[in-house]
Amino acid sequence: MGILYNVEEIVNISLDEFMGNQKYYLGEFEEIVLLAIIRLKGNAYGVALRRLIEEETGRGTSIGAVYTTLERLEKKRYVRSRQGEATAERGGRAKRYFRIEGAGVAALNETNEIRARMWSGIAPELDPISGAV
Amino acid sequence: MSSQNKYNPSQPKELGRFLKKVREEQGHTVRDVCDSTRLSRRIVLSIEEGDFSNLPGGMFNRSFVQIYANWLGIDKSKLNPFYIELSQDTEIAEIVVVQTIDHSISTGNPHIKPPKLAEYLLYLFLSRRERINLLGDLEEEYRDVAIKFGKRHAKLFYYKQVFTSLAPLIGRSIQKLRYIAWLLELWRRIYF
Repeated sequence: MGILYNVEEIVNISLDEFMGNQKYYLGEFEEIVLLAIIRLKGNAYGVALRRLIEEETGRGTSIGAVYTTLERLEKKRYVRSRQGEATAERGGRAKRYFRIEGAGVAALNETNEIRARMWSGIAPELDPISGAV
Repeated sequence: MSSQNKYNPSQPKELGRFLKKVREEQGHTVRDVCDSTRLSRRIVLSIEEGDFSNLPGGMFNRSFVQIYANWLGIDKSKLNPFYIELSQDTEIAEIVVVQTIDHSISTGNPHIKPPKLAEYLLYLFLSRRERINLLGDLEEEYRDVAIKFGKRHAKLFYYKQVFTSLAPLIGRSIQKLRYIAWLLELWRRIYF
């Protein structure tokens, strides 16, 4: 077990070195899209994603913005996609389903931690009960 | 009117609870029902809550229930304890609703097609892969809006989607041009 642990440690370190100790930074919309993919489980495709984002954020979302973000996330290997079925109601065009990858989950966690750290410093000041604002 | 009076007020609620229970057991969300049956969220929730007061009318309401129950794979006979036998009117309503949803929309009626000009405009800025998926998504939404709010709204929705989509797509194209410029600069520095 000790040897295995050492090997794992070495691999992790070398991977970190290879990646230049790269941290995960997500844009706001990238984060929203990743969360929407998780929430939709196996049904995360363009229409479902756009509608969920629009409903939950309460602001108009274009399908173009969703797709350009998905393309970026796919290039970063945060998500993976597969071609779905083509239906008549889509003019015979196929759906593309997206699912989140391990790197995507790690990026979300990292973003969440950063936000939590930042809020931990300023939350009391924003609390109207404390009367600081 | 007379068929509506046959309802026991407690029955729609019981029916709604039953359908909701079956849906949850099958692991489906309300959104799944809406996406597959083309019933609006308001209709599905009203059925599940047993509150038909905001829906169009008795015979149409029963057709909505029938469509929902069919989608869940519930046999018509299972609905009978809750659902007093379907009258002839209901069957007519059911045919009207199902024909509108299934044949006019789901099977791709050639008369319900997104505006060509807007589609072509978007086409210019999409990659080959996106042309299939994104344009398919937009066409699906166009049909949804058309059935719920009419063709005029659907057209407006489509144009709005196209114009708001152009900004991120053009931005992406500019980004690609920057990469090309960077490569040209690299090439110039190496060879000259």
